[in-house]
Amino acid sequence: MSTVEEALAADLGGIDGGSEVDWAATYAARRDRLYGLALVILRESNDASDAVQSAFEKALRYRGRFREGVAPDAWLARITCNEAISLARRRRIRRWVTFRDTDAMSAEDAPVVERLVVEDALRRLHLKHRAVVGLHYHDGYGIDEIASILGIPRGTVASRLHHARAVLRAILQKRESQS
Amino acid sequence: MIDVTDRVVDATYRRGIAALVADGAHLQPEAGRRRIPILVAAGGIAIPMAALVIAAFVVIAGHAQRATALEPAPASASTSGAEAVQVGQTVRVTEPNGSRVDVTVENVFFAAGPAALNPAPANGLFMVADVTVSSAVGAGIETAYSA
Repeated sequence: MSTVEEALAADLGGIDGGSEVDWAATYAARRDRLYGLALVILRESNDASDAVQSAFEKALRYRGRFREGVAPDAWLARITCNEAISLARRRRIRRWVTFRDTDAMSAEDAPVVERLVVEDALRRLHLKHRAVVGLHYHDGYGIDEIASILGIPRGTVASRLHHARAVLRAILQKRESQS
Repeated sequence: MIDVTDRVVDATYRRGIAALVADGAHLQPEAGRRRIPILVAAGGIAIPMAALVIAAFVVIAGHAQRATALEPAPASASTSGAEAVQVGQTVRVTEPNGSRVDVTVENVFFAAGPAALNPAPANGLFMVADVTVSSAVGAGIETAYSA
């Protein structure tokens, strides 16, 4: 059991006396998934871990606001998105470089190429667009669910998804035309 | 322009994000352990080190200055066999030829600035003692300087 899980178990065990949500188990089960979501937004693994921890700290602190009937997954995804976007804004000074030239890679590097192409696309997307991309392609949420999680209109989600597709499509088309 | 369908874009996003997460996962630090920003870490080391260096410099400079200021003074009746005297107390100074004066310390204080001292104090700060000197021919207030 990790330090965070122990803290969650100790804290909640004494206060909630076995509430309807087992947050320690929730953390253990959702950590990796939320990490992936944060990674899509932040594009840096250590920052993503920080965002997930921070999200769980907030979830723990504000668990009183958690309403029965709301899926813990969606609630945690929303907090994680907000934390990741907030963290990215605080660290906006960072600059990123791509270490490998995707144009010079061979077909057998396809998984790596796809990853780098997606990284390139994410780099060109606004943080809020990345959140939509992460919730859709990583977590598998539909447009309506994403709208509910992020608290934005359905049309906005569709627009952001459309823009994210257009960005990646442009990158893929450029690569195809050069090869 | 080559047409890239939504299906291809979606599949690329899914696989690319999966690869991104899989590659990034091994870099994930232990839960509960946060990284210290590089600047904070560097500052945490550099600032105490700089403070130590400055403190060492001040101590060394202080010793050097004190060594310069405490050059041995020529022996005289007043410095050899000196005894502690409170302000307001009077001591009698007797010369070998028999003449004697009574010296009363009126006031002792620190002072800074130009003074008729040669050489001038290294740190610009000196002590001043106002004394009353009484002799058979009269009495008057004199001021003695000590750097």
